[in-house]
Order: sequence, then structure tokens, then C-alpha cells
Amino acid sequence: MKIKSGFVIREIAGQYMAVPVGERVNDLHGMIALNETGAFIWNLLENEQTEDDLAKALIEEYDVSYEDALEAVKEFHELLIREQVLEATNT
Amino acid sequence: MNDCDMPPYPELLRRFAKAQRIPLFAQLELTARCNFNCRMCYIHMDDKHIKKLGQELTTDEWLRICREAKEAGTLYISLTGGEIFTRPDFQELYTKLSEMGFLITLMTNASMIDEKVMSWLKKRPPYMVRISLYGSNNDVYRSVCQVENGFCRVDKAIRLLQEAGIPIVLKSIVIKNNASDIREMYRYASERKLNLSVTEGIAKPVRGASSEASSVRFEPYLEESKNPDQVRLKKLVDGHGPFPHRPEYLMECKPYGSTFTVSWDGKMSWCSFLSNPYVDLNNCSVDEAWQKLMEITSKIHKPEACNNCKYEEYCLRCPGVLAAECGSYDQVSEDFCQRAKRLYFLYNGIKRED
Repeated sequence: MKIKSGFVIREIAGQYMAVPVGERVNDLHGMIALNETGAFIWNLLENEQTEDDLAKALIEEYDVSYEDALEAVKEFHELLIREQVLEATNT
Repeated sequence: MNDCDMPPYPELLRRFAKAQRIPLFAQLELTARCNFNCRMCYIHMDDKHIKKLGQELTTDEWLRICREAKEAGTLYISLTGGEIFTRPDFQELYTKLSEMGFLITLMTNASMIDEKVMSWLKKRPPYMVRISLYGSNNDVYRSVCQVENGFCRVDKAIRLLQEAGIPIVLKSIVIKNNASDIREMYRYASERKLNLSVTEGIAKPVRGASSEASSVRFEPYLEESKNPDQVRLKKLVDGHGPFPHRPEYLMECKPYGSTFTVSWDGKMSWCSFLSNPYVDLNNCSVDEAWQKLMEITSKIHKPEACNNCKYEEYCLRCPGVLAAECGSYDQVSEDFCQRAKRLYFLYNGIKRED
């Protein structure tokens, strides 16, 4: 999975958000509020990643088990699908 | 606190920013020029006058300010004037700003938005377009804005923006010249399925501008008339008082602490009505200017005359309004205080009749 182009991650007052820019504003009006972990994953998704890749990246960055990390990644993946911010895949 | 108690995310962000003194909102006054000549405008100036007072910032200067504003934590940018589309570089400036990661609101009379503008605007749409609506027909536009075909141009722009799916909010300022047209303006907004908010709060011109604000101001409550139509008309516009007791003068101002404005010649303040205090952005970065502005303004206090004032609950003062109406944020005038007194008697009079 990979995030569509056209988003800028902002960090303001301790809060994170993904803001659509340029033509991407046609797809999303407003912004997507993220927590720190969500922003971390979002930045990784500028390149193609699998759920396993992301879970492994999380356990390197944070003190969590692989199982907890994978569950968090799956939840976040569902959010990204709902918000339609992932590039279409060929599978 | 459960989910039901949480304010919407933008409001939460605003509170965090205000508490930490982060400039979340920026209002950028790109120009004082306008293609309209509204009788009550607080800022409109012609080219000759502008050149006497200073110099408009260039494209590159605005972009520098916006890059620094982003670093300082600005998320919401409002582009205002004058009329922003009169700037020949507006397309270039807007296109570059739209890539930076801001939520951009265009504040405009919309009369210059046509098919050619839409051809580039709809490709990178703004977060919102806030349109100043002055009437429901060309005659009222001629009377308020002193232009021909004003309403038709604005109506066409609204339709083009709606076809492109760009969110619009309508705002209207009521003066004597369009007061009788308010109902038709609401009808128009309803037909277009748009929100319209109306205010009669106009201010005298500031920072060297000139206008007819004093003579066109619409204040039916200042007359002794109990004409039911006038009272009903007044209730159609923003309600007045009573306001709760306001012990902290700066806290009366919702934008204070999270908002800055930049004038057409590069001066940072927190309100576009304020000529001072300001910090000149031609001489320092946005962050330096913001820190200095917060330091200077923390010492601001309300006028001494307001202490223990009987009519305070009905007073429409704020630092910006006092600066425009009375010459400074810490001064009042007899004229200004009369309005609060009249509102006090009017509201108490209506209550007794009820």
C-alpha cells in the first residue's frame, strides 16, 4: 500500500494532521487528524509498504510487541481505505 | 471527558494553539485596491493613495512570509484585501501557496471570478471562498458598491464555484443603502442553498483609508422609534447583548493569541482594524514578529472609562473596534458609548413591554 501524492503532514501544537494540497483538495475537503503513530506510518507510506513492513517499523521505533503493532497497522489501514487516500493497487 | 463532550477537531486545535500562543490563523491583506468602491469599506484605497503611504509586498515577499508562517505553526490562511483578484500576480501567488500545506480561504467580492479564473482555480480549489454579498440585484449593488452589473457578476461567480464543488460562505454588511434588501438577500442565499450571515457592524476607515462609514451606518436602534418593522429588521441581523461580564480585555477577542494579520505593506498585527501595535515584517521573520507582538500586546488593557460601566453588557467594544471608532484600543468616545447606552434602554424597554 502507498499513500496518494498530494498530502503534506503538519505538526502544530503537538497535533498531527495530513493536509491535501493542490489538486488533491478535490478529493478531500479539510484534513485528516493523526496521532503521532499515525503520522509516523503515513510518512513511511510515501513508499510502497506491506502491513508486515509497517509493523516491523513500529516495533523498531516504539516499545510494542509485533502483535500489537500489526493490530494498530491493520486498524490504520482500514482508516486509510475509508478516507480513500491510498493509491489503487493491481491486486 | 467522553466523546460527546469533545469539541470538533478544528476548535480543539484552536484552543491548543491559543493556549500555547501559536499563530494558527493568518489573515493576509494582499492589497488595499479593489474594483468596487463600497461606501463603508474600512480599507479601500486607490493606487495614488497607496503609493503615498507605502508599497505593496511583492509575490516573493508574500511567499517568504507564508513559508515562515508555516514554520511558526500557521495552518489556516485567509487571503483578503481590498479585492485579491485585482493583484496581477494572484494566480501565481495562489498556485504556490496551494502546495504548501495550508487550508486557504479566499475572501472576495467574487465579481472577478469568471470562466478563465475557474479554469485554474478548480484544479487546486481553496478550502473555502467567503463572498461579501452586498445586495440581491444590480440596483442595490450600484447604491452600495458604486459599480454597474455588480450582482450579475457575483451571481455568475457563485454558480461557477458551486458547479466546481467549491465551498462558499456568504457574508453581508448592512448599511442604509441595502437595509431594505436583507430579506431578498436571505431569499437569494436560500435559493442557492448557501449560508448567509449578516452584520451591521461597520467600522470607520483605518490606516489612512477613507469612506462614508459614518453617514451610511445602519443603526435603527439609535433612533427612538419603536417601529415594529425596524425592531424586526434589527433582529434579522446579529443580535446585540447582553454580553457577559468581561474581566480580561484581551480575552474578549477570540482571535487573540492564535491569529495574526499582515497588512498590504507588511505590518503584522493581530487585527486588521489596528494601526498599532504592529511589527514590521520587512525587518524580521514571522516568528520574531509574532513573539514581539505577543510581548507588546500582553500589556494592553481596557479603557479606564470602562471600569464599572453600567452599560458594559450592551457594549460592542473590542480592541479593534475601539481602535477604528475611537482612535485607539484603549480609548472610548462619547459617541461610541452612546450606542451602548441606547442598546441598554432599548433592550430594557422591550423587556418591560413583554
